[in-house]
Amino acid sequence: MPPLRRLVEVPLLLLGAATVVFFLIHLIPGDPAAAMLGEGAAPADVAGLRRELGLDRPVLAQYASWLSGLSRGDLGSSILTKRPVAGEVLAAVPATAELAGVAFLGALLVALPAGVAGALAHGRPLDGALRAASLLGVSTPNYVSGPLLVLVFSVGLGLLPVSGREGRGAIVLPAVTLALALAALLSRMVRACLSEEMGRPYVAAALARGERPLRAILRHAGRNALPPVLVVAGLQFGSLLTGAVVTETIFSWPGVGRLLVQSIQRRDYPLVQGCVLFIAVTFIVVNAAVDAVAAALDPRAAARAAGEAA
Amino acid sequence: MRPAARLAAAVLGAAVLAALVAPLLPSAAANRIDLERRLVSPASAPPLGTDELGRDLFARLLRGATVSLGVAGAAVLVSAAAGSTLGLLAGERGGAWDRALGRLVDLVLAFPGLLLAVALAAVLGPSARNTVVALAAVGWVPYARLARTEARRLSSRDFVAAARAAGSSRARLLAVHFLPNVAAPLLVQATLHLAAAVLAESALSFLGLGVPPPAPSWGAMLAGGRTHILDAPHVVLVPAAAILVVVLGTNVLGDALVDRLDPARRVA
Repeated sequence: MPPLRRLVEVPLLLLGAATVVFFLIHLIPGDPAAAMLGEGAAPADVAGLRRELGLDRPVLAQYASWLSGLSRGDLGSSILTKRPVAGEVLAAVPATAELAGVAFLGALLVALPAGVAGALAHGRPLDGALRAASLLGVSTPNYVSGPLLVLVFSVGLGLLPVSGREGRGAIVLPAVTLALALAALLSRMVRACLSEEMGRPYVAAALARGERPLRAILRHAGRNALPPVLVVAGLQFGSLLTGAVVTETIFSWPGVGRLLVQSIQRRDYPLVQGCVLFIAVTFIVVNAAVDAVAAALDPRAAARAAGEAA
Repeated sequence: MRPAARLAAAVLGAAVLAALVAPLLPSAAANRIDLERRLVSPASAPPLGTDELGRDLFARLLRGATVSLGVAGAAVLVSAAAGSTLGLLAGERGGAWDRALGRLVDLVLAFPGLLLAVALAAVLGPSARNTVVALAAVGWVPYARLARTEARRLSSRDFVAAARAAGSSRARLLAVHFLPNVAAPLLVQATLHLAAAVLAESALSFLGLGVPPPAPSWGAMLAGGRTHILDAPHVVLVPAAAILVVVLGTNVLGDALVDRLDPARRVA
């Protein structure tokens, strides 16, 4: 899809996401208000909550007030704490941003050199070892790697804290857990893109001029291989956000992901809606930005995409 | 087939066999609680030791294969059926149908990865059926895209025009002329999807949103053992190894299938 059309579509996607999140509450089997208060709640309390959430009004009226609330940044109030949902979610954002940012940078720092090394060693044992490592990384979910890392580094070696956000080392294990799969995926991608560019005549010409392979890769092939890698990296930011849901839960990292899981367990559905909406909106906006940057870096890709959409 | 792919196929075959055979074994073993024998190591209670409630881990691992692979397999089947039907219909009809499908796909893709499945599982409540629904609500998209693209391409071909002119019904057209042409890429997608679905099911169970206890899902076993990681790491290691082996096996096999079935790669 051409990036410009995508940018036009962003508001539509945001509206769509808001609509899906609104209807989540209506998918709760039975009476949502009763489900939120749990068994043994007094009927008067259930009726009160139903009125408070507006669940006694027609669905369209509820939808209209949900949207008008959103436009004012009002996502309702938490059932449990009675505080505004928007504030609760925003309070958890810095922790998630820190974790996702560190993991993202860490993954790039590992994946770029690993991918370059793999492309240079194409077909040799080092390449094979790197590919095997990345296959293992792609196949290890964070709820497996997280506990394993805790087992080795916290329990076995006693180096790092098991959970929480206090202290300097606290971010290491959650960030590594979150970065692992991304680093594996990106290194595969970097290797594949560089290998493809290495086969092109301009690289052969550079090599024939006597340039060293590493220099040829960094100066010439890298410039052409970078945009697709950046696009994949950017799009993977979304999987980082969902990965954060599990990772934050494992390590008790006080971010949006853990807030989401806690809210689900407490049946605090307005807060669940707030967390889901926040993650989806972040994802949509980041993707649109990635598309725009990619188009600026490589007009050919944009033209190709336009051709496909036509 | 490469040796790695053969090994992967053998391992997956064993896991599927375990999933099929486990329900035939005495079902009590997997859920029998014995608090006298909590967290016994594999060395003292072969073959795999016991968990935090004294249940036999080997029995739970086998039953867990039934639950995890069963839910994941069902999610793959539902996704493939729904996605390819929608994709073929939209691709063949074009116009408003095609645009409507495009909008629907965009809407699902507006939620990253597992988020929509987590949200759906959360509101629907934990059960095997709801897990399948939540996974399929996200999983149908790649099938629809594949089928739609292929159907768009095919609908302008002569043999399709001939079938239409001969009075072939739409259902027959799609089933007899379109489906065989998209079967190979859909099969590759289904293989890769199975690994993803096992992972997704385990992730949901790990978060307490999957199949409810005491049913042994690998993800739930992993979550249950996490609090005892200090004194009894085997409770975590056993399900972790099972998940890892199945996903690794499916990924290796999927790669081999892609190489075999993708005409573009075969030429290269």
